[in-house]
Amino acid sequence: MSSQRLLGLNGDEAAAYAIKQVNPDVVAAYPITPQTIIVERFSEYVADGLVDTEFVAVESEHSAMSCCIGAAAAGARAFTATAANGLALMWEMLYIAASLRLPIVMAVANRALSAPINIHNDHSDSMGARDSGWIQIYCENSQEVYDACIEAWRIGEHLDVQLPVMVCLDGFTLSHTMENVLTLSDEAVRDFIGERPYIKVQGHLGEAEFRLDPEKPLTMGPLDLYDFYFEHKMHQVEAMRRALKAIPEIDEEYREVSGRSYRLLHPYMMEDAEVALIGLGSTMGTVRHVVDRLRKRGVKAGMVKMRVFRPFPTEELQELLKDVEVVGVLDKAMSFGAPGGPLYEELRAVFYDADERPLIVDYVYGLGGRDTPPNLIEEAYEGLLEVKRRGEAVEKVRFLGVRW
Amino acid sequence: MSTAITLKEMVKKPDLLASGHRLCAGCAEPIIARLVLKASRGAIIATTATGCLEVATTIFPYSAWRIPWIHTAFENAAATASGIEAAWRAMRRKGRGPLARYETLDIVAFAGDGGTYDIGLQALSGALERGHDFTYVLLDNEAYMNTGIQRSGGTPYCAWTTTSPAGTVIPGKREWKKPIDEIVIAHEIPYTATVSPAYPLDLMQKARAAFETEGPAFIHAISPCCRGWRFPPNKTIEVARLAVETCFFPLYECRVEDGRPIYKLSPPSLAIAKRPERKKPVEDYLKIQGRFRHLFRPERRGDLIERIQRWVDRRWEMLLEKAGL
Amino acid sequence: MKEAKPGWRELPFGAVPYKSSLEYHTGDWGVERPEFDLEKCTRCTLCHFYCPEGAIGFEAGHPEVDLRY
Repeated sequence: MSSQRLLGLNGDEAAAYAIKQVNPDVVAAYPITPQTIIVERFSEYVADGLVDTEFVAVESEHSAMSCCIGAAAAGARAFTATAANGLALMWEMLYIAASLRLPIVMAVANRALSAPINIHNDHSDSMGARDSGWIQIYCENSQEVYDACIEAWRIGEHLDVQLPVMVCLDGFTLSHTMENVLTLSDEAVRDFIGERPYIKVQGHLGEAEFRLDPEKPLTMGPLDLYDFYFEHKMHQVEAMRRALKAIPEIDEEYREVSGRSYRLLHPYMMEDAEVALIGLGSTMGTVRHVVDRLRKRGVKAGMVKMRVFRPFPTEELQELLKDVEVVGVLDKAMSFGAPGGPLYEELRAVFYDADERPLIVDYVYGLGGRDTPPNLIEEAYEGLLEVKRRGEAVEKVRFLGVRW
Repeated sequence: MSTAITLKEMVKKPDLLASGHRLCAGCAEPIIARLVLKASRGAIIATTATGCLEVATTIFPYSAWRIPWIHTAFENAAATASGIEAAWRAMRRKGRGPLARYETLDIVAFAGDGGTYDIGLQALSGALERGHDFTYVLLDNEAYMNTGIQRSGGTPYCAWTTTSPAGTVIPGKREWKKPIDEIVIAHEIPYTATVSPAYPLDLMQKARAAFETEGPAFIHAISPCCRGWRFPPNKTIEVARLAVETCFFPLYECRVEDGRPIYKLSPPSLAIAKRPERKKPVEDYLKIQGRFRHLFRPERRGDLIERIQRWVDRRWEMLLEKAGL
Repeated sequence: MKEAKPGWRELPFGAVPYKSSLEYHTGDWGVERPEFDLEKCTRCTLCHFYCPEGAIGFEAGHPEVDLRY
């Protein structure tokens, strides 16, 4: 394990600092709250000559992602950061980045989508992008943001994976809140990420590395109709499946360097848990605190923090939750008109065929940055205990913290 | 060193866009693309906006491109090219990465009029303002041809399209063609030129000049479309030539030097400037295209033809003024 | 005549095309057929530059058409 330096960084700064150490070829970005600090800090690194990166101050998020795609296709390491409406504006390009199999890394400072316009945190932006083909990592604190912004390159560039990676950090709660962050040396980061590897492909003019190479030309992004498109989508299905294996492997390597490891899921007090909450992001820190409180009162409460939402760790979740009596899902996004929030729906789908399965209820919470203090989380656990007593969940989708 | 641009030399240079693409017979786009690529200096990377050229050259599993090529989307050819250029620039600076060894790299973006005048204008403007070293080639067939002939900002006044149909009340498109070159030149980029596939030497020379330009260069090519303009496929070059001969689409270059735009008419248009009697009436251009048929049948719409002639004359005079002629 | 298409595991990564368009012959789309009167031909080479298909070559010193395209 290499020596580390303790810095006071907010989530955005932690992302910017990690990317500085990664020193990617191209950063293309556009300002949007609460992501802006990332590009501001990074611009300073560029201005001070601390990175070799070509910083492209694009005129929109659509161009930010397009620029990253062009750069990554040319063989570069490319990074961008965005939030909410900015992510929505680059929507079209998210799918294209993933389908073109370009290992771009993007920080998303999660923020509620308009309208009405709101700059505060929920997961409606990145949850809407869950089908775009990106790997999604959700962070609980600045330390995780820092670590994920380093690991993401290795995950995305893994030859079995070759997919773009979204590092999600809760707007303001993480992006603007200073915390202690242990940082690796520049050298340790450089050694860990190494050089970007390229996959070999057989193109129409012979074998070539998968990038735009004047010597060995490839055609990227062709017209692909009903006779081949489906097969190419299978490549993406397979890449996500393989990412489930690759992520823990890379995480293990990262643990050797940093002493920190995250895996796909973080269970807490789950060995004998009867009721548990599962969710993503910074709220899970509050949940852990509440679990401790409940445990002191003798309640067998546990929690699972999902770090990786795409690919969805189905088997790990089945194993972890099968003996729990009642699971509450914390969804910081709502899929309007759907049976529930995104995580709830997927978790229920995972357990539909299982012989042993918990009762599952959904707590949609925190929309537009609505505060979620410990007593609200405790309320959610009380709801789970009530379900446990009754042996059934009458009201399956609940809205936590909204005024009635 | 790169070969000089002469027909004698260029005829020997292998095409970088191969045969077997599936653009329509008589389409001007592959003519323009072939000519532009012939003018490349060596290492080249191309990106193409969604459109006829993109779909017809890369129908999976086939590709007609003998150069590295990428299509990402419709409105972002300039942004995609920005990324390629930024990657190259970063690798050059670091002296590391696969593009680091290319001292010169011709980065070219092809886009249609829809992808330039309309949906791609923002990305284009941004890329021009940022000063990326790339060449943007506008293949202007004056409508959304790939989706079936819908009007764009580049469609000329009175032209029939499927969304500006010539009806009993409204005679085709009601708006004038957007002055895209002026918009581009207003960005003070170093090089802008108009080209017609009827003049291959002029086209290739300008493409070479664009590649040699440090910073953004813009090539505006008139690209007659026999399907959308309604003329027989063997008339493409004739139509492309008439566009120039009538001064509907004059050929010129504009270099911004020391912050000032310096206009220079190209030989085919300069000849007309010197001998104004050679300027053909715009009617000659309109009447061979079915998209303007309603200006002639069932009755001749002299008022509209005259209005178009005045537009052509005014813009031609403005160009001559700018060129100091 | 139907060629068996490859399954997804056999297709190259990243949806890159694996055949040159040269293998795709569009010549039979033509409704007209170019003919050259080499007596009259001035070898100006314009036909090469004007050909949308890039099917006219001058390797022989005079125009030759590849009628496959």
